[in-house]
Amino acid sequence: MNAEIIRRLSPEEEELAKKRNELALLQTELAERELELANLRADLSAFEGLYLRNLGVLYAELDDWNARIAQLVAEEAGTVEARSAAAEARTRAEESYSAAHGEAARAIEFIPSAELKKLYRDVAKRVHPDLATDGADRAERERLMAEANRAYQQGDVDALRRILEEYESSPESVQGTGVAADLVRVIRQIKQLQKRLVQIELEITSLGASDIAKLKVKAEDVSNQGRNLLAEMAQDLRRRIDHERRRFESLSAKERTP
Amino acid sequence: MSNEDEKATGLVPSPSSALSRVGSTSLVQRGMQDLIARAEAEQWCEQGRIFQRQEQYVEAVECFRRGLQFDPNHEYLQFLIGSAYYQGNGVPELDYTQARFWLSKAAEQGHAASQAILGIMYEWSFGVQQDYAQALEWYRKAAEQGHAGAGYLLGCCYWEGRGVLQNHEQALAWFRKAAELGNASAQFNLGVMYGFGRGVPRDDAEAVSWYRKAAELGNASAQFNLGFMYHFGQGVPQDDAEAVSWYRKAAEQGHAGAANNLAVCYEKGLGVPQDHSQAAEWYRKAAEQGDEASNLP
Repeated sequence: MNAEIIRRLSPEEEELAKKRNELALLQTELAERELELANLRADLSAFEGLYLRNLGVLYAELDDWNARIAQLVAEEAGTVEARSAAAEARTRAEESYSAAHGEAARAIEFIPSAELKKLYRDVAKRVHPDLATDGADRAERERLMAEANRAYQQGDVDALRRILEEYESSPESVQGTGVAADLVRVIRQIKQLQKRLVQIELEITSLGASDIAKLKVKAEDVSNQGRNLLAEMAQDLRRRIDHERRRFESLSAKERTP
Repeated sequence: MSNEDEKATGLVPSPSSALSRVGSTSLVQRGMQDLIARAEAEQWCEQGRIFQRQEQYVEAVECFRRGLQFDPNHEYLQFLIGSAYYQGNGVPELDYTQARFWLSKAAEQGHAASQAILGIMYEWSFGVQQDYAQALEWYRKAAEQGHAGAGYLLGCCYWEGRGVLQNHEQALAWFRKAAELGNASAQFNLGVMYGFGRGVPRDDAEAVSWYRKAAELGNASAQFNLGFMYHFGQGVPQDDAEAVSWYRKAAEQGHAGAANNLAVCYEKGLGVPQDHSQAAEWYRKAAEQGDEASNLP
Protein backbone atom coordinates (compact mmCIF):
# COMPACT_ATOMS: atom_id res chain seq x y z
CA MET A 1 0.00 0.00 0.00
CA ASN A 2 1.33 3.21 -0.97
CA ALA A 3 -0.24 5.50 1.40
CA GLU A 4 0.65 9.11 1.33
CA ILE A 5 2.15 10.32 4.44
CA ILE A 6 0.01 13.01 5.88
CA ARG A 7 1.62 14.95 8.57
CA ARG A 8 -0.99 15.58 11.10
CA LEU A 9 -0.73 18.72 13.15
CA SER A 10 -0.03 18.29 16.77
CA PRO A 11 -2.48 19.98 19.13
CA GLU A 12 0.13 22.68 19.81
CA GLU A 13 0.61 23.27 16.10
CA GLU A 14 -3.12 23.48 15.60
CA GLU A 15 -3.36 25.98 18.40
CA LEU A 16 -0.48 27.98 16.90
CA ALA A 17 -2.17 28.13 13.49
CA LYS A 18 -5.36 29.30 15.11
CA LYS A 19 -3.55 31.96 17.11
CA ARG A 20 -1.60 33.18 14.09
CA ASN A 21 -4.85 33.60 12.29
CA GLU A 22 -6.26 35.54 15.21
CA LEU A 23 -3.13 37.73 15.29
CA ALA A 24 -3.42 38.52 11.58
CA LEU A 25 -7.01 39.65 12.03
CA LEU A 26 -6.04 41.80 15.00
CA GLN A 27 -3.20 43.38 13.03
CA THR A 28 -5.63 44.40 10.31
CA GLU A 29 -8.10 45.82 12.79
CA LEU A 30 -5.39 47.62 14.72
CA ALA A 31 -4.00 49.23 11.57
CA GLU A 32 -7.49 50.50 10.79
CA ARG A 33 -7.95 51.94 14.27
CA GLU A 34 -4.50 53.55 14.30
CA LEU A 35 -5.37 55.23 11.04
CA GLU A 36 -8.63 56.47 12.50
CA LEU A 37 -6.84 57.86 15.53
CA ALA A 38 -4.19 59.54 13.38
CA ASN A 39 -6.91 61.15 11.28
CA LEU A 40 -8.85 62.30 14.32
CA ARG A 41 -5.73 63.87 15.79
CA ALA A 42 -4.88 65.56 12.52
CA ASP A 43 -8.45 66.91 12.20
CA LEU A 44 -8.44 68.28 15.72
CA SER A 45 -4.97 69.75 15.28
CA ALA A 46 -6.12 71.48 12.12
CA PHE A 47 -9.20 72.86 13.84
CA GLU A 48 -7.10 73.94 16.79
CA GLY A 49 -4.78 75.73 14.38
CA LEU A 50 -7.75 77.50 12.84
CA TYR A 51 -9.08 78.41 16.28
CA LEU A 52 -5.76 79.76 17.48
CA ARG A 53 -5.23 81.82 14.34
CA ASN A 54 -8.72 83.32 14.56
CA LEU A 55 -9.51 83.46 18.27
CA GLY A 56 -6.32 82.65 20.14
CA VAL A 57 -4.73 85.82 18.82
CA LEU A 58 -7.74 87.82 20.02
CA TYR A 59 -7.54 86.33 23.51
CA ALA A 60 -3.86 87.27 23.49
CA GLU A 61 -4.80 90.83 22.49
CA LEU A 62 -7.48 91.00 25.19
CA ASP A 63 -4.98 89.80 27.79
CA ASP A 64 -2.50 92.40 26.57
CA TRP A 65 -4.98 95.24 27.18
CA ASN A 66 -5.82 93.78 30.58
CA ALA A 67 -2.13 93.68 31.44
CA ARG A 68 -1.71 97.30 30.35
CA ILE A 69 -4.68 98.35 32.46
CA ALA A 70 -3.30 96.41 35.44
CA GLN A 71 0.01 98.21 34.91
CA LEU A 72 -1.67 101.63 34.96
CA VAL A 73 -3.66 100.70 38.04
CA ALA A 74 -0.46 99.50 39.74
CA GLU A 75 1.34 102.75 38.92
CA GLU A 76 -1.56 104.74 40.30
CA ALA A 77 -2.10 102.67 43.43
CA GLY A 78 1.55 101.83 44.06
CA THR A 79 0.62 98.96 46.37
CA VAL A 80 2.34 95.60 46.49
CA GLU A 81 -0.90 93.81 45.61
CA ALA A 82 -1.52 96.00 42.57
CA ARG A 83 2.04 95.46 41.36
CA SER A 84 1.87 91.72 41.73
CA ALA A 85 -1.53 91.68 39.99
CA ALA A 86 0.03 93.64 37.12
CA ALA A 87 2.94 91.22 36.91
CA GLU A 88 0.52 88.30 36.90
CA ALA A 89 -1.56 89.88 34.16
CA ARG A 90 1.58 90.47 32.10
CA THR A 91 2.69 86.84 32.51
CA ARG A 92 -0.71 85.64 31.45
CA ALA A 93 -0.67 87.92 28.41
CA GLU A 94 2.71 86.54 27.40
CA GLU A 95 1.53 82.97 27.84
CA SER A 96 -1.51 83.66 25.72
CA TYR A 97 0.64 85.30 23.09
CA SER A 98 3.03 82.38 22.77
CA ALA A 99 0.18 79.86 22.77
CA ALA A 100 -1.67 81.78 20.08
CA HIS A 101 1.39 82.22 17.88
CA GLY A 102 3.14 78.90 18.58
CA GLU A 103 3.56 75.65 16.73
CA ALA A 104 -0.05 74.55 17.25
CA ALA A 105 -1.35 77.63 15.42
CA ARG A 106 0.33 76.48 12.23
CA ALA A 107 -1.66 73.25 11.83
CA ILE A 108 -3.67 73.29 8.63
CA GLU A 109 -6.39 71.12 7.20
CA PHE A 110 -5.30 67.62 6.39
CA ILE A 111 -6.91 65.51 3.65
CA PRO A 112 -4.98 62.22 3.23
CA SER A 113 -4.96 60.55 -0.19
CA ALA A 114 -6.13 56.95 -0.58
CA GLU A 115 -2.56 55.86 -1.30
CA LEU A 116 -1.25 57.60 1.80
CA LYS A 117 -3.88 55.87 3.92
CA LYS A 118 -3.09 52.47 2.42
CA LEU A 119 0.64 52.85 3.05
CA TYR A 120 0.03 53.98 6.59
CA ARG A 121 -2.19 50.96 7.21
CA ASP A 122 0.52 48.65 5.82
CA VAL A 123 3.14 50.19 8.04
CA ALA A 124 0.94 50.05 11.13
CA LYS A 125 0.06 46.44 10.41
CA ARG A 126 3.63 45.25 10.14
CA VAL A 127 5.76 47.70 12.07
CA HIS A 128 3.49 48.31 15.05
CA PRO A 129 5.56 48.45 18.26
CA ASP A 130 3.15 46.14 20.03
CA LEU A 131 4.28 43.33 17.75
CA ALA A 132 7.74 43.59 19.30
CA THR A 133 9.19 40.50 20.87
CA ASP A 134 11.97 42.13 22.86
CA GLY A 135 13.20 45.50 24.01
CA ALA A 136 15.57 46.16 21.10
CA ASP A 137 12.92 45.18 18.59
CA ARG A 138 10.42 47.49 20.27
CA ALA A 139 12.81 50.42 20.20
CA GLU A 140 13.39 49.94 16.50
CA ARG A 141 9.67 49.66 15.77
CA GLU A 142 8.86 52.73 17.84
CA ARG A 143 11.43 54.69 15.87
CA LEU A 144 9.97 53.59 12.56
CA MET A 145 6.38 54.17 13.68
CA ALA A 146 7.14 57.67 14.89
CA GLU A 147 8.69 58.40 11.52
CA ALA A 148 5.65 56.93 9.81
CA ASN A 149 3.36 59.16 11.84
CA ARG A 150 5.28 62.22 10.88
CA ALA A 151 5.35 61.18 7.23
CA TYR A 152 1.61 60.59 7.32
CA GLN A 153 0.82 64.01 8.81
CA GLN A 154 3.03 65.59 6.16
CA GLY A 155 1.41 63.56 3.39
CA ASP A 156 4.83 62.12 2.47
CA VAL A 157 4.05 58.96 0.46
CA ASP A 158 7.69 58.28 -0.44
CA ALA A 159 8.81 58.41 3.17
CA LEU A 160 6.13 55.90 4.16
CA ARG A 161 7.24 53.60 1.35
CA ARG A 162 10.86 53.85 2.50
CA ILE A 163 9.89 52.99 6.07
CA LEU A 164 8.07 49.93 4.85
CA GLU A 165 11.07 48.85 2.74
CA GLU A 166 13.48 49.46 5.56
CA TYR A 167 11.41 47.30 7.84
CA GLU A 168 11.07 44.48 5.30
CA SER A 169 14.79 44.40 4.67
CA SER A 170 15.83 44.42 8.30
CA PRO A 171 16.87 41.05 9.69
CA GLU A 172 14.15 39.27 11.61
CA SER A 173 14.87 39.31 15.24
CA VAL A 174 15.70 35.99 16.69
CA GLN A 175 12.57 34.17 17.55
CA GLY A 176 12.05 31.31 19.85
CA THR A 177 12.45 27.93 18.22
CA GLY A 178 9.89 25.32 18.32
CA VAL A 179 6.13 25.38 18.33
CA ALA A 180 5.77 25.99 22.00
CA ALA A 181 8.04 29.05 21.92
CA ASP A 182 6.22 30.40 18.85
CA LEU A 183 2.90 29.89 20.54
CA VAL A 184 4.04 31.81 23.61
CA ARG A 185 5.28 34.65 21.38
CA VAL A 186 2.10 34.86 19.31
CA ILE A 187 -0.10 34.82 22.39
CA ARG A 188 1.95 37.62 23.88
CA GLN A 189 1.60 39.65 20.68
CA ILE A 190 -2.14 39.10 20.67
CA LYS A 191 -2.37 40.35 24.24
CA GLN A 192 -0.29 43.42 23.42
CA LEU A 193 -2.42 44.28 20.39
CA GLN A 194 -5.61 43.84 22.38
CA LYS A 195 -4.27 46.14 25.03
CA ARG A 196 -3.39 48.72 22.41
CA LEU A 197 -6.88 48.48 20.88
CA VAL A 198 -8.38 49.30 24.27
CA GLN A 199 -5.92 52.19 24.61
CA ILE A 200 -6.94 53.56 21.23
CA GLU A 201 -10.56 53.36 22.24
CA LEU A 202 -9.82 55.30 25.41
CA GLU A 203 -7.82 57.85 23.56
CA ILE A 204 -10.49 58.41 20.92
CA THR A 205 -13.00 58.85 23.73
CA SER A 206 -10.83 61.36 25.55
CA LEU A 207 -10.07 63.25 22.35
CA GLY A 208 -13.80 63.38 21.68
CA ALA A 209 -14.41 64.78 25.15
CA SER A 210 -11.77 67.48 24.80
CA ASP A 211 -12.78 71.14 24.55
CA ILE A 212 -11.40 71.48 21.04
CA ALA A 213 -13.50 68.50 19.86
CA LYS A 214 -16.63 69.89 21.53
CA LEU A 215 -15.98 73.23 19.95
CA LYS A 216 -15.54 71.60 16.55
CA VAL A 217 -18.84 69.70 16.89
CA LYS A 218 -20.57 72.91 17.95
CA ALA A 219 -19.07 74.80 15.02
CA GLU A 220 -20.36 72.13 12.66
CA ASP A 221 -23.85 72.20 14.21
CA VAL A 222 -23.98 75.95 13.93
CA SER A 223 -22.61 75.85 10.40
CA ASN A 224 -25.58 73.65 9.42
CA GLN A 225 -27.79 76.58 10.41
CA GLY A 226 -25.82 78.78 8.03
CA ARG A 227 -23.85 80.48 10.81
CA ASN A 228 -20.14 80.74 11.49
CA LEU A 229 -19.36 80.03 15.13
CA LEU A 230 -15.73 81.12 15.09
CA ALA A 231 -16.68 84.38 13.38
CA GLU A 232 -19.37 85.03 15.99
CA MET A 233 -16.96 84.31 18.82
CA ALA A 234 -14.37 86.56 17.20
CA GLN A 235 -16.91 89.38 16.91
CA ASP A 236 -17.73 89.09 20.57
CA LEU A 237 -14.05 89.10 21.50
CA ARG A 238 -13.36 92.14 19.35
CA ARG A 239 -16.11 93.93 21.22
CA ARG A 240 -14.50 93.01 24.53
CA ILE A 241 -11.11 94.14 23.23
CA ASP A 242 -12.62 97.49 22.20
CA HIS A 243 -14.12 97.81 25.65
CA GLU A 244 -10.79 97.16 27.35
CA ARG A 245 -8.99 99.48 24.95
CA ARG A 246 -11.40 102.30 25.78
CA ARG A 247 -10.94 101.57 29.48
CA PHE A 248 -7.19 101.78 29.04
CA GLU A 249 -7.46 105.03 27.10
CA SER A 250 -9.71 106.71 29.64
CA LEU A 251 -7.45 105.54 32.50
CA SER A 252 -4.32 106.84 30.82
CA ALA A 253 -6.05 110.13 29.98
CA LYS A 254 -6.89 110.46 33.68
CA GLU A 255 -3.26 109.88 34.59
CA ARG A 256 -2.07 112.59 32.26
CA THR A 257 -4.40 115.16 33.83
CA PRO A 258 -4.06 114.72 37.58
CA MET B 1 13.54 67.16 15.78
CA SER B 2 14.08 66.52 19.47
CA ASN B 3 13.46 63.25 21.21
CA GLU B 4 10.45 64.65 22.93
CA ASP B 5 8.86 65.72 19.68
CA GLU B 6 9.40 62.24 18.36
CA LYS B 7 7.59 60.79 21.31
CA ALA B 8 4.76 63.21 20.86
CA THR B 9 4.14 62.03 17.33
CA GLY B 10 4.87 58.38 18.11
CA LEU B 11 2.13 55.89 18.48
CA VAL B 12 3.36 54.37 21.70
CA PRO B 13 3.23 55.99 24.11
CA SER B 14 0.66 58.22 22.57
CA PRO B 15 -0.18 61.45 24.29
CA SER B 16 -2.60 63.29 22.07
CA SER B 17 -0.33 65.49 20.06
CA ALA B 18 -2.83 68.22 19.46
CA LEU B 19 -3.96 68.63 23.01
CA SER B 20 -0.95 68.18 25.23
CA ARG B 21 0.25 71.76 24.93
CA VAL B 22 -0.87 73.59 28.02
CA GLY B 23 -1.01 77.10 26.58
CA SER B 24 -3.13 76.39 23.55
CA THR B 25 -5.39 74.09 25.57
CA SER B 26 -6.15 76.88 27.98
CA LEU B 27 -6.99 79.25 25.12
CA VAL B 28 -9.42 76.64 23.78
CA GLN B 29 -10.85 76.21 27.26
CA ARG B 30 -11.52 79.92 27.50
CA GLY B 31 -13.33 79.87 24.19
CA MET B 32 -15.49 77.02 25.43
CA GLN B 33 -16.20 78.72 28.77
CA ASP B 34 -17.12 81.95 27.00
CA LEU B 35 -19.48 80.06 24.72
CA ILE B 36 -21.18 78.35 27.66
CA ALA B 37 -21.43 81.66 29.54
CA ARG B 38 -22.99 83.37 26.55
CA ALA B 39 -25.48 80.54 26.09
CA GLU B 40 -26.44 80.90 29.78
CA ALA B 41 -26.82 84.65 29.42
CA GLU B 42 -28.93 84.11 26.31
CA GLN B 43 -31.23 81.78 28.23
CA TRP B 44 -31.72 84.27 31.07
CA CYS B 45 -32.40 86.93 28.47
CA GLU B 46 -35.05 84.76 26.80
CA GLN B 47 -36.64 83.94 30.17
CA GLY B 48 -36.65 87.60 31.15
CA ARG B 49 -38.33 88.57 27.88
CA ILE B 50 -41.05 86.00 28.58
CA PHE B 51 -41.67 87.53 32.03
CA GLN B 52 -41.68 90.97 30.43
CA ARG B 53 -44.37 89.95 27.95
CA GLN B 54 -46.43 88.68 30.89
CA GLU B 55 -45.84 92.04 32.59
CA GLN B 56 -43.95 90.37 35.46
CA TYR B 57 -41.34 93.10 35.44
CA VAL B 58 -39.61 92.33 38.74
CA GLU B 59 -38.96 88.73 37.67
CA ALA B 60 -37.82 89.97 34.26
CA VAL B 61 -35.21 92.31 35.76
CA GLU B 62 -34.00 89.52 38.03
CA CYS B 63 -33.43 87.33 34.94
CA PHE B 64 -31.59 90.12 33.13
CA ARG B 65 -29.30 90.58 36.14
CA ARG B 66 -28.53 86.89 36.29
CA GLY B 67 -27.80 86.85 32.59
CA LEU B 68 -25.33 89.70 33.04
CA GLN B 69 -23.51 87.69 35.69
CA PHE B 70 -22.68 85.18 32.97
CA ASP B 71 -21.87 87.68 30.26
CA PRO B 72 -21.22 91.17 31.66
CA ASN B 73 -20.73 92.49 28.12
CA HIS B 74 -24.13 91.37 26.83
CA GLU B 75 -25.30 94.62 25.24
CA TYR B 76 -28.92 93.62 24.88
CA LEU B 77 -29.14 92.70 28.58
CA GLN B 78 -27.51 96.01 29.48
CA PHE B 79 -30.12 97.73 27.33
CA LEU B 80 -32.97 95.80 28.95
CA ILE B 81 -31.86 96.67 32.48
CA GLY B 82 -31.22 100.26 31.46
CA SER B 83 -34.70 100.50 29.95
CA ALA B 84 -36.21 98.97 33.09
CA TYR B 85 -34.70 101.85 35.14
CA TYR B 86 -35.65 104.38 32.44
CA GLN B 87 -39.28 103.33 32.64
CA GLY B 88 -39.34 102.32 36.29
CA ASN B 89 -40.53 98.81 35.41
CA GLY B 90 -39.48 95.99 37.73
CA VAL B 91 -37.15 98.22 39.76
CA PRO B 92 -37.91 99.95 43.08
CA GLU B 93 -38.31 103.28 41.29
CA LEU B 94 -37.62 105.06 38.04
CA ASP B 95 -33.91 105.91 38.22
CA TYR B 96 -32.25 107.90 35.44
CA THR B 97 -28.78 107.56 36.96
CA GLN B 98 -28.97 103.78 36.85
CA ALA B 99 -30.60 103.93 33.42
CA ARG B 100 -27.78 106.05 32.08
CA PHE B 101 -25.16 103.77 33.66
CA TRP B 102 -26.50 100.67 31.86
CA LEU B 103 -27.53 102.33 28.61
CA SER B 104 -24.08 103.93 28.31
CA LYS B 105 -22.45 100.52 28.53
CA ALA B 106 -24.63 99.16 25.73
CA ALA B 107 -24.40 102.37 23.71
CA GLU B 108 -20.62 102.36 23.85
CA GLN B 109 -20.68 98.84 22.49
CA GLY B 110 -22.73 100.14 19.58
CA HIS B 111 -26.28 99.20 20.63
CA ALA B 112 -28.43 101.53 18.52
CA ALA B 113 -31.59 101.68 20.66
CA SER B 114 -29.49 102.45 23.75
CA GLN B 115 -27.70 105.21 21.85
CA ALA B 116 -31.04 106.71 20.84
CA ILE B 117 -32.40 106.71 24.42
CA LEU B 118 -29.16 108.15 25.74
CA GLY B 119 -29.53 110.95 23.17
CA ILE B 120 -33.03 111.65 24.45
CA MET B 121 -31.76 111.76 28.04
CA TYR B 122 -29.18 114.38 27.10
CA GLU B 123 -31.61 116.38 24.97
CA TRP B 124 -34.34 116.47 27.63
CA SER B 125 -31.97 116.46 30.60
CA PHE B 126 -33.32 113.29 32.16
CA GLY B 127 -31.06 112.71 35.16
CA VAL B 128 -28.20 114.53 33.49
CA GLN B 129 -27.29 118.09 32.58
CA GLN B 130 -28.83 119.09 29.26
CA ASP B 131 -26.22 118.68 26.54
CA TYR B 132 -27.38 119.10 22.95
CA ALA B 133 -23.99 118.25 21.48
CA GLN B 134 -23.94 114.91 23.32
CA ALA B 135 -27.54 114.24 22.34
CA LEU B 136 -26.72 114.91 18.71
CA GLU B 137 -23.71 112.58 18.76
CA TRP B 138 -25.71 109.70 20.21
CA TYR B 139 -28.56 110.27 17.75
CA ARG B 140 -26.05 110.30 14.93
CA LYS B 141 -24.39 107.05 16.03
CA ALA B 142 -27.74 105.28 16.23
CA ALA B 143 -29.10 106.84 13.03
CA GLU B 144 -26.02 105.85 11.07
CA GLN B 145 -26.73 102.27 12.09
CA GLY B 146 -30.20 102.58 10.59
CA HIS B 147 -32.17 103.33 13.79
CA ALA B 148 -35.26 105.09 12.38
CA GLY B 149 -36.30 106.90 15.59
CA ALA B 150 -32.81 108.32 16.05
CA GLY B 151 -32.80 109.45 12.41
CA TYR B 152 -36.02 111.36 13.07
CA LEU B 153 -34.63 112.97 16.24
CA LEU B 154 -31.40 113.86 14.44
CA GLY B 155 -33.47 115.43 11.66
CA CYS B 156 -35.28 117.51 14.32
CA CYS B 157 -31.92 118.72 15.72
CA TYR B 158 -30.85 119.87 12.27
CA TRP B 159 -34.27 121.41 11.57
CA GLU B 160 -34.22 123.45 14.74
CA GLY B 161 -30.45 123.95 14.97
CA ARG B 162 -30.16 122.20 18.34
CA GLY B 163 -26.58 121.18 19.16
CA VAL B 164 -25.62 121.89 15.58
CA LEU B 165 -25.95 124.69 13.02
CA GLN B 166 -29.43 124.77 11.55
CA ASN B 167 -29.37 122.90 8.25
CA HIS B 168 -32.62 122.14 6.44
CA GLU B 169 -30.93 119.99 3.81
CA GLN B 170 -29.48 117.71 6.48
CA ALA B 171 -32.84 117.68 8.25
CA LEU B 172 -34.56 116.66 5.04
CA ALA B 173 -32.00 113.92 4.38
CA TRP B 174 -32.42 112.41 7.87
CA PHE B 175 -36.22 112.72 7.84
CA ARG B 176 -36.23 110.98 4.48
CA LYS B 177 -33.99 108.18 5.71
CA ALA B 178 -36.11 107.66 8.82
CA ALA B 179 -39.33 107.95 6.79
CA GLU B 180 -38.15 105.28 4.41
CA LEU B 181 -37.39 103.05 7.39
CA GLY B 182 -41.03 103.44 8.41
CA ASN B 183 -40.86 106.15 11.09
CA ALA B 184 -44.28 107.81 11.11
CA SER B 185 -43.16 111.08 12.75
CA ALA B 186 -40.50 111.56 10.07
CA GLN B 187 -43.06 110.75 7.38
CA PHE B 188 -45.40 113.36 8.85
CA ASN B 189 -42.62 115.96 9.00
CA LEU B 190 -41.71 115.29 5.37
CA GLY B 191 -45.38 115.75 4.50
CA VAL B 192 -45.40 119.10 6.29
CA MET B 193 -42.18 120.22 4.58
CA TYR B 194 -43.61 119.44 1.13
CA GLY B 195 -47.11 120.63 1.98
CA PHE B 196 -45.94 124.03 3.18
CA GLY B 197 -42.82 124.34 1.03
CA ARG B 198 -40.54 124.52 4.04
CA GLY B 199 -36.94 123.65 3.16
CA VAL B 200 -38.15 122.19 -0.14
CA PRO B 201 -40.26 123.50 -3.04
CA ARG B 202 -43.93 123.00 -2.22
CA ASP B 203 -45.31 119.76 -3.67
CA ASP B 204 -48.84 118.81 -2.55
CA ALA B 205 -48.84 115.38 -4.19
CA GLU B 206 -45.59 114.49 -2.41
CA ALA B 207 -47.05 115.83 0.85
CA VAL B 208 -50.15 113.67 0.45
CA SER B 209 -48.08 110.55 -0.19
CA TRP B 210 -46.04 111.06 3.04
CA TYR B 211 -49.13 112.00 5.09
CA ARG B 212 -50.81 108.84 3.83
CA LYS B 213 -47.90 106.61 4.89
CA ALA B 214 -47.83 108.14 8.37
CA ALA B 215 -51.65 108.17 8.63
CA GLU B 216 -51.80 104.49 7.82
CA LEU B 217 -49.31 103.87 10.64
CA GLY B 218 -51.78 105.62 12.96
CA ASN B 219 -50.14 109.06 13.29
CA ALA B 220 -53.06 111.32 14.31
CA SER B 221 -51.53 114.57 13.02
CA ALA B 222 -50.93 112.94 9.64
CA GLN B 223 -54.50 111.62 9.59
CA PHE B 224 -55.77 115.13 10.31
CA ASN B 225 -53.57 116.74 7.63
CA LEU B 226 -54.51 114.07 5.08
CA GLY B 227 -58.20 114.74 5.81
CA PHE B 228 -57.49 118.42 5.29
CA MET B 229 -55.82 117.71 1.89
CA TYR B 230 -58.94 115.76 0.80
CA HIS B 231 -61.20 118.46 2.23
CA PHE B 232 -59.58 121.18 0.13
CA GLY B 233 -58.49 119.01 -2.83
CA GLN B 234 -54.80 119.73 -2.38
CA GLY B 235 -52.50 117.22 -4.08
CA VAL B 236 -55.44 114.87 -4.36
CA PRO B 237 -58.94 115.13 -5.95
CA GLN B 238 -61.36 116.85 -3.55
CA ASP B 239 -63.32 114.20 -1.62
CA ASP B 240 -65.39 115.10 1.47
CA ALA B 241 -66.15 111.49 2.34
CA GLU B 242 -62.42 110.65 2.44
CA ALA B 243 -61.79 113.84 4.43
CA VAL B 244 -64.42 112.81 6.99
CA SER B 245 -63.02 109.30 7.30
CA TRP B 246 -59.48 110.61 8.10
CA TYR B 247 -60.76 113.38 10.41
CA ARG B 248 -62.71 110.72 12.28
CA LYS B 249 -59.62 108.49 12.74
CA ALA B 250 -57.63 111.42 14.10
CA ALA B 251 -60.50 112.71 16.24
CA GLU B 252 -60.99 109.28 17.79
CA GLN B 253 -57.36 109.45 18.88
CA GLY B 254 -58.10 112.71 20.66
CA HIS B 255 -56.92 115.18 18.00
CA ALA B 256 -58.81 118.40 18.75
CA GLY B 257 -58.44 120.01 15.32
CA ALA B 258 -59.79 116.87 13.70
CA ALA B 259 -62.74 116.75 16.14
CA ASN B 260 -63.53 120.35 15.26
CA ASN B 261 -63.36 119.74 11.50
CA LEU B 262 -65.44 116.59 11.86
CA ALA B 263 -68.05 118.66 13.70
CA VAL B 264 -68.04 121.22 10.87
CA CYS B 265 -68.62 118.39 8.35
CA TYR B 266 -71.61 117.12 10.37
CA GLU B 267 -72.99 120.61 10.77
CA LYS B 268 -72.83 121.38 7.06
CA GLY B 269 -73.42 117.84 5.78
CA LEU B 270 -70.06 117.61 4.01
CA GLY B 271 -69.19 114.01 3.18
CA VAL B 272 -71.73 112.86 5.78
CA PRO B 273 -75.48 113.36 6.14
CA GLN B 274 -76.09 116.56 8.09
CA ASP B 275 -76.42 115.73 11.80
CA HIS B 276 -76.60 118.55 14.36
CA SER B 277 -76.42 116.32 17.39
CA GLN B 278 -73.26 114.63 16.07
CA ALA B 279 -71.89 118.09 15.26
CA ALA B 280 -72.56 119.25 18.82
CA GLU B 281 -70.98 116.13 20.24
CA TRP B 282 -67.74 116.59 18.26
CA TYR B 283 -67.60 120.35 19.00
CA ARG B 284 -67.86 119.44 22.66
CA LYS B 285 -64.99 116.95 22.34
CA ALA B 286 -62.91 119.46 20.42
CA ALA B 287 -63.44 122.00 23.17
CA GLU B 288 -62.65 119.43 25.83
CA GLN B 289 -59.37 118.76 24.09
CA GLY B 290 -58.60 122.43 24.49
CA ASP B 291 -58.95 123.36 20.88
CA GLU B 292 -59.87 126.68 19.34
CA ALA B 293 -62.43 126.25 16.61
CA SER B 294 -60.31 127.70 13.83
CA ASN B 295 -57.09 125.89 14.59
CA LEU B 296 -56.44 124.70 11.04
CA PRO B 297 -52.95 124.41 9.63
